Amino acid sequence: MRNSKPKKLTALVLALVMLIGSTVTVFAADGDSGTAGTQSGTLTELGSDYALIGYESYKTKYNYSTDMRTGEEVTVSAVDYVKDPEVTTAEVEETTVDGVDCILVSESGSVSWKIDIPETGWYCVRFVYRAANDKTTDIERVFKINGKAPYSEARYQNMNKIWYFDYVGDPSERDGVFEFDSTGNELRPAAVLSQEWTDYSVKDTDGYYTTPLEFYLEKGENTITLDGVRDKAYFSEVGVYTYEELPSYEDVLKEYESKGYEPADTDPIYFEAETPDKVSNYTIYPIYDRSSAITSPQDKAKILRNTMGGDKWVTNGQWISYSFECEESGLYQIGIRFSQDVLKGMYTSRAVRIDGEYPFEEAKACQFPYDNKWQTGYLGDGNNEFRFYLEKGTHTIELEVCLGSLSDVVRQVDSVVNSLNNDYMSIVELTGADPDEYRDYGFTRIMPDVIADLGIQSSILYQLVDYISEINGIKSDNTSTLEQAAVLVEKMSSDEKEIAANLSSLKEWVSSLGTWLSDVSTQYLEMDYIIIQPADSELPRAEANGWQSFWFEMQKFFASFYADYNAIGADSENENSKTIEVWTTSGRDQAQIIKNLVNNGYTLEYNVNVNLKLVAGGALLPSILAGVGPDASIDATNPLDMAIRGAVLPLNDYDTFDEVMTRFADSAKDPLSLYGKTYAIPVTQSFPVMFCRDDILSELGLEVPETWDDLMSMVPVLQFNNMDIGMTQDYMIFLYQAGGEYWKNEGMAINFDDYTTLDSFEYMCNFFTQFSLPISYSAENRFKTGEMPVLINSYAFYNTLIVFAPEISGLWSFYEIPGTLDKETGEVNRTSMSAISGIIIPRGSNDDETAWTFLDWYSDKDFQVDYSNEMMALLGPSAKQQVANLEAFEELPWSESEASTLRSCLDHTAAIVPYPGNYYVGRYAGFAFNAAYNDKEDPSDELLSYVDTINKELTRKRKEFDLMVDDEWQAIKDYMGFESFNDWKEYWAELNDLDIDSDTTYIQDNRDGAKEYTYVDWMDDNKITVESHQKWLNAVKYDGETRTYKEWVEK
Amino acid sequence: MAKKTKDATYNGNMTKAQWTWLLMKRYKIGYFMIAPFMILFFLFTVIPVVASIFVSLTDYNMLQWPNWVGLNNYITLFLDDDLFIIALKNTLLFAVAVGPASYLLSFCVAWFINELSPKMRAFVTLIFYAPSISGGAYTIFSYIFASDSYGLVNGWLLKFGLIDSPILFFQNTKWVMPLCIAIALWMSLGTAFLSFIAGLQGLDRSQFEAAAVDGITNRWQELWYVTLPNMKSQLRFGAVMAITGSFGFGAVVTALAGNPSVEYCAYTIAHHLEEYGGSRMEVGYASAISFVLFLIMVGANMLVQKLLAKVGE
Repeated sequence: MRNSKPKKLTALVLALVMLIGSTVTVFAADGDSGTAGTQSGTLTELGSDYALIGYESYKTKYNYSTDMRTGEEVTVSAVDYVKDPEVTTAEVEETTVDGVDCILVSESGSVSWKIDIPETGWYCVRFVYRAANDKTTDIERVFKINGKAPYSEARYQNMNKIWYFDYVGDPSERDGVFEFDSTGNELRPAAVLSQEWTDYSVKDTDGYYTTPLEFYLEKGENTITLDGVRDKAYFSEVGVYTYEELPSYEDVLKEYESKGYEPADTDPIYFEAETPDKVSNYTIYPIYDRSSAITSPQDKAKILRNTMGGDKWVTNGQWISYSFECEESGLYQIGIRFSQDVLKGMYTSRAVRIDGEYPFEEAKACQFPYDNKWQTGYLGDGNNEFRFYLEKGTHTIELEVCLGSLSDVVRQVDSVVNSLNNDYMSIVELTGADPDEYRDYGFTRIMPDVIADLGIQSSILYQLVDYISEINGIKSDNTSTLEQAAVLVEKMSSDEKEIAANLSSLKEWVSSLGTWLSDVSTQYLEMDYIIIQPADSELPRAEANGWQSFWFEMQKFFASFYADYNAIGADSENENSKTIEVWTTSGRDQAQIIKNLVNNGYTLEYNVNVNLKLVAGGALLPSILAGVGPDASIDATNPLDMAIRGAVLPLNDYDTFDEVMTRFADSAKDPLSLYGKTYAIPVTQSFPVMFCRDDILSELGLEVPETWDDLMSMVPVLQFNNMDIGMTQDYMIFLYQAGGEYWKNEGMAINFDDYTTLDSFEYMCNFFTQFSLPISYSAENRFKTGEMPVLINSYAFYNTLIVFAPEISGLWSFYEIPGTLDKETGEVNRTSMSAISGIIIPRGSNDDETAWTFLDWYSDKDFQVDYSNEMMALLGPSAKQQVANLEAFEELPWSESEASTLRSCLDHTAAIVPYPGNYYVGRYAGFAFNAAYNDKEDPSDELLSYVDTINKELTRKRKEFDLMVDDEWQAIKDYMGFESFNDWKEYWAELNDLDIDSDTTYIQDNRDGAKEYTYVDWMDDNKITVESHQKWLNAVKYDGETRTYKEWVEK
Repeated sequence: MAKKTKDATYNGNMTKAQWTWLLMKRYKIGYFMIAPFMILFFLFTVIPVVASIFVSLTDYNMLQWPNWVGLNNYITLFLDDDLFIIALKNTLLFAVAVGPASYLLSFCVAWFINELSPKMRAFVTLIFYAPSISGGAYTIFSYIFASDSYGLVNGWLLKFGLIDSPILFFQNTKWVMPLCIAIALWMSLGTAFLSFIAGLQGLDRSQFEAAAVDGITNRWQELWYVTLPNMKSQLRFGAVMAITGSFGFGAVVTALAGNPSVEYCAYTIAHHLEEYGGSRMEVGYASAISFVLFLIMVGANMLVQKLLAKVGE
């Protein structure tokens, strides 16, 4: 009886698919990430990957039947890999770990093994692996048989690392397991990598299939290959085996009966969920619940780590394991106090393994229904509450996130989304995105396949709705999404007049289905404790009674008067400890994560308390000026603006400064430094990359553009197909790629009256004025629907796409932005402009030395990696941070090809130094662009017409800050006959015996409270005041003798 | 009330100050009750306004001790600041277009609403008042007039073939000002409008009867000779609101077209003030701008009040 419904369903779908034959292209959706193709790989090659068949088609192709399972098993030692360097391209090192012969395989490149299959049939493939380092990311590989990924589901393989916690106390006790901070709040325990050999079977990482994947292997020699995607790893064994069906629960019960097993006669075994043995991911750790009075342990004022899982334990394949001692052999039921208040009207699922094995088939899909309160329940599948026979002794229980009985549904919705996407694209190619509903396009004549496919998809959706309603007993808002989509698609397939009118609705419904998919795949479950009871016992109550709740809430209320919830980590007992105040303008989630990390890291390490405050964006500068600023501020977007007003401390003189700055790319420092002094430490660095819909480009026969000219030549092809390019208006990319300069003489004037600048600007404008590329558009929508298959955007856009467009995952990649061909050298310059945010120490900080240690710690690799991982645990893969720290960047879970694209971008980034008055430049460049676009004016003329205005403002600003202005420089230049500003600087430095790079400051620096404004700080003993500087300049102008300031002073 | 007035007798030997003090002591409860407001009002309104006049004569920049520069700020403002002249032009243009129109609109709509049944009146009042009460509601126009070819207006225009590429409504000098004026009018039924309704509600019906007896023949005469003179205080209040609203206009432009708008086409004094006071922190100069704006408003107000005095004559 079990699973009969999904099986029938699958059979029907298969039948339909076969009826229509090969007209339906099934695109592969893999994992959660778009893959960054390497620049060299052509899209035609990539195209073959998109055409990978799915598991179902694979089974059909090779006539799958369970009779073809041979029962054979072959194991090869990993050391016997194919030694031919043409086949095995990875760096492989033979070694012995824990007495096991094994190989250490590098992150990139592939390694292959030859396996002799004794008999043709269906096999599963297994590896024995071990983590090689404690980077927090999973080991990822692409799996291939005989040089080719057999089908899309098997392509990406994720091998997790196993972690355990470093508890302070005995985890079987309720108290003292976790470390406290001084206020009594429990800290997150440190996760330690568990070094162990793990047996891994190739499986579907999305969880659409709950059994290991099977492959059709022919008798004789077969090659199994792993292509490196992320992280190195040890491998000791490779093998194939035959999958054996698990017994059903019914059979197991019969067996219990025949063996005469009775419910055990003993006390329940009780343990807290927050103290697991091991977890599968670094980001799963004890969390806390303060909503229920009887969550154990609970406290009215303090934060106790009392639950496990929650939103950190929602992705397929993540597991938590516990071990427990069984006093008596017998039948038990496993009860859990849990909360599942996320997936409304549905249930979430966990696969349960006892001692590493599934006891029966149904244990792969234990259900946890929805309720907005805490619940207690026995592990079960909705029909049965399972009984488990446990021998006396130690056992382990593992709970793994899975899609359970929903996996079939999710898989089919996924394929419906892909098919509908293709249908949509086919229609759009004929009609454009905004078709005329009164025109007869003749769809049934031109694209009968597409129309037929719409019919199939709608009938699949209808059946899924029926199926979900049946298993859940109700129709919830979760099924209504499917149902409404089905109605629309049916309407479009049955009446071709409806197609044009409903095309945009179709687009919206496809994206709703995508959202539905990601919602349903999020398998939320928070556990409080696990209680293993002899069968047929009563479960403890799930929620506190009214009085308990009331009393708890009252206690909490009164505790709120004395408990300081903001000062997490304040070490008030230690008199010697200092406190610094740090401000952040990020979101509440971010601040909470920073707080926790500071608490568990910085405070312990430096014995300094951090008072982290969430403030509004504009609050910083006024507070600094009013003298009530913080000791450090995170997320300062334009530190030089404040530095020029003397509101930020220069950081060059702190002892570890030089070492700290080695963590970043050179371009990250530029916008934070002025005249040799650095005023902020970079935190994030983002830059534009080019997002491409690989599927569309390969269909149109286009290649990923290398240069802007290539891109321009793509425009007509795309526009012919009713598509566009999402182009950037940042002309500075073109300027820098052409080797141009933005400023003259360190910010004294703008370099707009220059051929390179004007050409670059005009070139950029041409994309919009001549090729009519859209200026404003919703990037994510147009990229998703394929109307804009090429899009230049910041690489943070990746995050948006992951969340916003799950239905096109795997169909797009990002590449380095196009470059400009240098006609003389033939090289392509791919410089891109980066945007930096940094962390600063405001002037007026009470303890700038301590604040500096915070900056040091904050910008270090460890924090940046932890922070990024935490954000991803909280918000999913969409929370990848644009870290500026280069080492931290390497540890983020980008795939190897994505990482290499980004790395190469990072090598080519440049940044504008925002000299005083910079904001004025962008403003007028914008005016010039608008005039060119709106009124068809000549871009160069427009830009040139603003040069004087901009220079006037720059001079004005520089005078305000007592900096040398253009007129003064011209006077010096004319009189003293210097070729360039740099010549003069060198002359001056030499004359005064100064280091030209570090000793130059033009801006006021009254750090010691001096009321003197130095124009040039090169002569410390001889500070030039503004007034005397003017006198000197006059002297230089009018008397022929005086050459240097020193001579003048002496005179 | 009568008793107290009797007590406050004037003793011939008293100086004016002594007399005032005596009265203050007598009405101390009144002073006591008004004190919280007056203290706050002085502290946060009167003193800053006066202080800004002095600050406008210095080069204060929030960082250094201000230097006295006399009238330099004003001289620069009028003789060497092109942007101020543009801002002045835009502000006047805007005030002239929006001020009287919004004032008349407020009154006419209030007059019209006053004729409705009470329930209907409450409902219609809400409809008209809603745009101005719901702070940032005008941002909806950035979606209606989005530059995207999927923007509402652009979408329709493209669909009917009136244009062949989307218009950048808020980045185009031809469109920004007219659109902002239209939106300002849409939002202009604010507090003045409410006070007009209150004024119309508070009219004494018997006066209309008396006027009818006195020979009023039509609604216009009724309006001019009875209704308007009876609600002069509301009219004055409305005028002040309309003037401050239209001269201090800027937030809507910033939200829709950015600050500065393209080529300063909708750059007003409020923007100029924001730029110098906010982004550049040249507070001295900003104070000079605000003082000029203040004078313009006061002048406009005097003019309007003079005109209002003629109502009903």
